Amino acid sequence: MEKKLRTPHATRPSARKSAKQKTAFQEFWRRFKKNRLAVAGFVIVVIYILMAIFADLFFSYDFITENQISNAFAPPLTTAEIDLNNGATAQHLYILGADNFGRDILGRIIHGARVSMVIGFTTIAFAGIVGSALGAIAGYYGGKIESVIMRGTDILLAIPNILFALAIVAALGPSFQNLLLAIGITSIPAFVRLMRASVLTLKNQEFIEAARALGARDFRIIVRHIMPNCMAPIIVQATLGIAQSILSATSLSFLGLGIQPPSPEWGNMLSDARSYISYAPHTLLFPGLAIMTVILAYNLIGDGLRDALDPKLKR
Amino acid sequence: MTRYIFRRLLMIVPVLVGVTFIVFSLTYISPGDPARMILPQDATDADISHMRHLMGLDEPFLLQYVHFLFGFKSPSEDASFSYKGLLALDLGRSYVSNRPVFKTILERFPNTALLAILALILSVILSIPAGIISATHQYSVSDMVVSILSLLGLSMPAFWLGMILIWIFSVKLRIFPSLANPANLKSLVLPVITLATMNTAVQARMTRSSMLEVIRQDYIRTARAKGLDEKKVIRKHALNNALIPVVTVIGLQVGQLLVGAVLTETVFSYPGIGTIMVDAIQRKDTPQILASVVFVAIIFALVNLIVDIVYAFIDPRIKAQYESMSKARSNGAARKGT
Repeated sequence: MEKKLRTPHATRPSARKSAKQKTAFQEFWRRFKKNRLAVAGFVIVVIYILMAIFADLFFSYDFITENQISNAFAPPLTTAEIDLNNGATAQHLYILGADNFGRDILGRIIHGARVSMVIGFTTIAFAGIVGSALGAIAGYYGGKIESVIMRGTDILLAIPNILFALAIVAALGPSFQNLLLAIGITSIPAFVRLMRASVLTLKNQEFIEAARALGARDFRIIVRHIMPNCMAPIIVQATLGIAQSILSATSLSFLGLGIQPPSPEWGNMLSDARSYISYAPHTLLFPGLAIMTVILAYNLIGDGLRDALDPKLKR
Repeated sequence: MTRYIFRRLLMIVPVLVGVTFIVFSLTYISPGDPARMILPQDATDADISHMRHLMGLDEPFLLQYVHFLFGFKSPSEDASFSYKGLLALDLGRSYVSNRPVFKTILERFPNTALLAILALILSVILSIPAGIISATHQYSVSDMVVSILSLLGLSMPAFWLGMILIWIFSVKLRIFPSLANPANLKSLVLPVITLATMNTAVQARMTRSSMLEVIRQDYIRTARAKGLDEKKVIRKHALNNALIPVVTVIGLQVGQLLVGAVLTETVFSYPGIGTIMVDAIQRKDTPQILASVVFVAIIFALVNLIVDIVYAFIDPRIKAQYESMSKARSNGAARKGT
């Protein structure tokens, strides 16, 4: 019986499937590509990711955390003598100048990209997985579980993001792990709400009933049938969420509650620069530009994805 | 309507309990021991445990939370260890300045509120006209300028923008002072711009997209077909409807402004609640941290509550929706009962 039912597809099931998926993706890509700004954002993010991965090829970590006091505040594009560990000296071109300890700003920005990218991706991966799971459970099962999850979400949402992150870091002490935890937790509610809303609209549709009639378990229905259909808003939220995470992390570091110096992080670079605004504005300018471009890029991608994935705009 | 407001007021109670509980738990699990912190370095273990007893820190966790809400009477002679609890706005004294923590907060809060209100006014004045022009002249140069500026505003960290403004206007041009205080209106210009930028960007984008959506509706076409003046169509027919979601966003942003002030205040060394909080965190002044975080969270929740209620008055659809919903619910409840 089962075999008979399958015969219509049996001719070339895999070919059919891949053709269909390809067109769906092609359709998405065609629409995303049309949005020049979104593509530009994508390119910028790729550049930052490459910078983060290959940071050590450009500058060694030791070099950008070591003080070269004699070169403090060297303006951009100056060549100065630096001390190497073995007592020798070498000429070094400070492309974006040096900070208050004579450390290379470009190098610190590149290594800072690593910190920011890691924070952006891990916090949103964590919040996306936990939040989507909770949202799916709340939407699928309803009842008491839903009430508990949604009230919890309401309470989390009632505390402003930055304030909550501040409270967590204040309680647990400023460290990289606590920063990740703080930002990760504050990013959860948005995903819970989105996922629950999508699941609610999907769960009574026929293909879900069909899956249930075939004896699929709840877990399988949620993971294989519901979740893939809820991905569009989640992906958009994740992209914008990464921007938000990076911004929160730099803000906390700026307040001295995030990544601690001498570790390079854009926010703590700006915190140092604050004391020397009138004396060395370049120490202020470049780390801020780095933050702004990366946030802008994620926002552009987010806008582009939203337009490209929005079924209302399908023509 | 009264029922809606009453229900909304009731809903705030569990949220506030949850918020205070979370913030209290966070301070409870934080590694430093307050008793050790206020005693001299050479205090013995016996001294510390005695002090913990005097401060009520040896009580069980939940009892401490109850003390936190309703007050604590210390067995000590020294009255400064007793406090009347959050409900009476008394959470004891700062470890650093030895002043009642809420006294400092209530003194400084008006400064933060002033900053937030000015920023809100500025952002509304700028963003709504910009969004409307951008939408009514879609794809024009002004639309592009507004879109690009709002994207930049959205992506700029406020604390960096503040410092750049200081560099340009205080250091280079010497027009505005770099330190702000509420007594000097001129010194508020830069912090208000800094704080308003993100909101202006968000609201302008919202106005634009909402307006674009409304302009494509049939009733706008009808108004135009009637031969109405285009200005009248936009002002009377489109704007009223387009502004409803914008009002929601503005409402949500009021709370954000109070919080965003933390960073702006730090940049301009402004004596507001944000600087209290950051100072307290850096000095590990637990009662002050606890009080200021809880205070801002409560203000945030209350502001959102007020916005929700005001919103129901502005948008007749909410009222209608709520009335039909409560009818449906009471019907459902009745059915369940039988």
